[in-house]
Amino acid sequence: MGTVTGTPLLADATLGRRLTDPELLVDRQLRADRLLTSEGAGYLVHDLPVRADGRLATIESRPWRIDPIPVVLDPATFRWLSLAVAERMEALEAVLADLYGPRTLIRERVVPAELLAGTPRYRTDAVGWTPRRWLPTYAVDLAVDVTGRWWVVQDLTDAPPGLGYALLDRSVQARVMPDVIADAEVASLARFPARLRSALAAVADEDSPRIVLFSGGLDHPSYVEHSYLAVQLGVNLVEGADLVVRQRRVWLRALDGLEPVDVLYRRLEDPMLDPLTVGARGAGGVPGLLQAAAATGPGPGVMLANGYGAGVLEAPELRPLLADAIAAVARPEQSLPQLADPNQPLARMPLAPGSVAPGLDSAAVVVRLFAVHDGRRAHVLPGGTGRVLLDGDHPAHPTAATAKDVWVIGQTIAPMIGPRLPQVDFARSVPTRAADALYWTNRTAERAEAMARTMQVVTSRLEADHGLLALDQGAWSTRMRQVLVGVARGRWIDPFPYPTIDTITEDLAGVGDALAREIGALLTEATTVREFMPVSSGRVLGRLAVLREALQQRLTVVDDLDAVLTDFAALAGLWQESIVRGPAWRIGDTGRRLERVLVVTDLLDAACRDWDATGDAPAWSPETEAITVEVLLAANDSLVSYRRAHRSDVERGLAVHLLVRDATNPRSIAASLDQLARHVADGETSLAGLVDGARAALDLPLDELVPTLREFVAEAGRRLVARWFSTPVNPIGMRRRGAGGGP
Amino acid sequence: MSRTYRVVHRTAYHYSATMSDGYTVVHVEPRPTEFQTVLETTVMVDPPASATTTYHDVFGNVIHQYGIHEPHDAMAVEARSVVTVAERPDPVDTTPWEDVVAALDAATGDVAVDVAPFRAASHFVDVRSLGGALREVAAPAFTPGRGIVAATRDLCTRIAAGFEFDPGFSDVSTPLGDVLDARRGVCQDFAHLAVGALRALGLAARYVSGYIETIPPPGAPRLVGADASHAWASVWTPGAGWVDFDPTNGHLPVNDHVTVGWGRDYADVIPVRGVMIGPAAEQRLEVAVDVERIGPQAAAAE
Repeated sequence: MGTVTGTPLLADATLGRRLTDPELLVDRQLRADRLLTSEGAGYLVHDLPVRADGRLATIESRPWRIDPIPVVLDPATFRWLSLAVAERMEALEAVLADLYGPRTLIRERVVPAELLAGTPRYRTDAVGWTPRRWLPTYAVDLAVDVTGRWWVVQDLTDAPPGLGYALLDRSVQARVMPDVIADAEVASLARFPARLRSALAAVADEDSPRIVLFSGGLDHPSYVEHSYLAVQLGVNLVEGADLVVRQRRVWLRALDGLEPVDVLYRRLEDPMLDPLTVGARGAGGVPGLLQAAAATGPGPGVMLANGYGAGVLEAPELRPLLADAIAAVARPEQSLPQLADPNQPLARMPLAPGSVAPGLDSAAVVVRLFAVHDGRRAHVLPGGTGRVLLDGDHPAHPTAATAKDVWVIGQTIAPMIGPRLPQVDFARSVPTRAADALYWTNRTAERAEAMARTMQVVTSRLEADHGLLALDQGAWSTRMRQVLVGVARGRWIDPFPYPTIDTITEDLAGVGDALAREIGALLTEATTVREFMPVSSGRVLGRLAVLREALQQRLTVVDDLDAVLTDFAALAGLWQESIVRGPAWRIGDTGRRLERVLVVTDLLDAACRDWDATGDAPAWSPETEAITVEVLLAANDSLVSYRRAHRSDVERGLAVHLLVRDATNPRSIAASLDQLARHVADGETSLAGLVDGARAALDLPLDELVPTLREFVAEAGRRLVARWFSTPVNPIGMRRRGAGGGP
Repeated sequence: MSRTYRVVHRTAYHYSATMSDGYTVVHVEPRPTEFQTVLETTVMVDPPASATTTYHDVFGNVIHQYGIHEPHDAMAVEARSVVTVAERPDPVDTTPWEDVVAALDAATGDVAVDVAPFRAASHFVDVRSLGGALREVAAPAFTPGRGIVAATRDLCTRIAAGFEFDPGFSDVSTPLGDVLDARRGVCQDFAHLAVGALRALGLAARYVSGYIETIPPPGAPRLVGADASHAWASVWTPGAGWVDFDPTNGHLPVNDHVTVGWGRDYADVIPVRGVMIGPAAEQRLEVAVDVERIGPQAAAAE
């Protein structure tokens, strides 16, 4: 263990010993790792390649860890740092206002025009813009040397990243060692999302502007943070395709039509905002966005936070000039010097064993502080993120994927009178892309739950009685293979040759693979709509992510399946109990009911197809039939209902009735159709007529009912997609013709 | 003697699928300059634009931005302008080019804001990595102590003589390094080359987009629409301001060039660019430019 005392990164010696106690560190690290996963961050950092409807998603987020030993700042240091950071933020605001306004810094050659013109980060199309504020948000990386002197490593002014991670890491740490945090009087971060919200609102003219978080979507490396921040802020997370510019205003494509947006909290960097800008990058922008943003002042327009072009201060060429530029536009009292020599010896602090690399027990840490400006003054987050530097790392580019929480201790903060609640009514406002994802979240959850239950039922039957394998010369086990394949939506299996325990085990593993894929799709979809999901669902999804890994490695046992069924039940329960009955709930519930109709249909087909056929079909003894029907009921979670309704042994006709036509059984097709009919009455008119047609078909014989219901679900899906989700694709560039003149 | 031209510049797109939205940014309206009066100018969009915005960019060029928010599988932008071009006097500035560089190094005020940015590397003019090769292009013309105009005039002639016009060689995205290697290209490449050579020396140079009157061979009829948009370069001098020169034709414009606008390079003044929203589709692009002399001095000029 490195020096505990004497490092400015771990200010309090007594606390330092408590934080670095080797007895406790291993457990803290384990819990931090686990919590980071269950908080919902962990599962995203794994590969989730396929979305529910087959579209590809590539998530490049790196997994990161939290080293349980935080950076500890004493009150005096933090007070001084926060003053200096606030002053620097104000000064950089003035620098930006000048670089895009009167350009006095250029005229006086404090900042050479050549240097600005040479960096694409200086957005010439923003010259002349006068947003109310260029930097409502700001972050700065600081390094401290062995003498305790603090240096600026870099300013983050474009779309300052990391605030969400700081809040997320603290939420983990607060659960790993709540006692230490309380004893040390660590300043709370709970007020900061509200401060950020005020700062974002302050850039707009309206009193209560509509704010959205503008993300690059799942492909953006910081998507975890975007999603977390949207939830913390209580604003919609939107992607480029969710937005459209008309009449120089920005509109959100929502279920109820286009809704105006006043402030874009943009998490995309300057050149990615609008494909029409010179030198645009990426496909996530909104055509015309910058024309809407240029229309500043009263009237139409949209405010970008941060202002378009603010990223110029991140240009490495500009860094050495910032001190002079700041001195020219402001007179800061506390000045933070710019770190000029990347090899300057920096203060080190202890690392938890193995948090970065085996044997590495101390490292330098760059501290990122965050500030927001609400129009009156800057507020600095009393916390931050520490980024561990490996030897040889440039301080601006740490390569270790290990973060440290940043504690400001000895802060007697007035108690909060409850957290401020989000002010957006999510029930009323659903971006169509979010509706799409909610629909698929529910469909995949329903399908995954059915797969897990079917696996569990078949596995436990076989474990209870291996003799079943040979029942009726394998007729029962063949049927079970059909059931497994059916619920996984695989291909119908040829009943010959009769299965052995190996083939059944292989089928179970196949369903396990399919379940892993389904859970992957569920996680991907759910991740894009976190702001619509109940808060606790993050933990359930985190556990599902762990199960998914076990499934992929084929390590699942019946106990795991029991646990995962509980998780699915929890997810469904949270959905039913915690979501306002509005368009978001309705579209999600529609997905769930449609999938349930399909699941029951698939299982009925698998268990009962060709039941009465003769010839090549296997012989059926009453015993085979009874056990098969029992499995069918159990796989549909209806065995208990059956036993309550019928004291007899299971009978096929009664079971089919219970699953198809008995609307009092919530798992039945009839119950799902009833619920869909209510959605139609509540406004889901795209399914009008269709649902009634399906209900009328319930009396058909099974061999006619099955294809009818499958077509019903397919057609309903097509209509919903056509009505709600025909989201535009990303913009395609028009071809260009150069000047081709000759002599 | 001044001349009056009618310029028609039509850019037409055909898509193999229907687009739901189209957004287009165009630099096709000639701007007034010291030597150019714009008598008439209209830009038509077909299908008609649902939304139009007109503004000036940081260089003072006129930009139109169009939104077409209805299904379409073709779109066209047609600019029609009538422009009178005055005969430019021969520029005079004998300041040694090294002194111009020194003056720019120390420039403050308006020169710092308006001129100095044209010394930097830009998207199509990568002075940082091509600096050595570009200085080699400039060196024979920019001998020590030579006057800025004389040296530029020489560079202009040398590029025209030393590089081959080859419409098949390059397209809009051909890197300047390839043009340097192959010593061939079209006007856009030569304009970038000239701009790069000057910037590599520390001078300020800009890319000019426009049109040039083409004279058919004797006896041949003038082919309507067969012209192309043209590009040339401009160098800043302390005594004569911005001095245009045409390295494709090896001379300084007199009264046969119609200026649309200027920027750091082609990227700043792309005539028609944009995006559309719709399914993946093939695009067919047709461009027709017609420069017709209509002025009262038409007959007297030859």
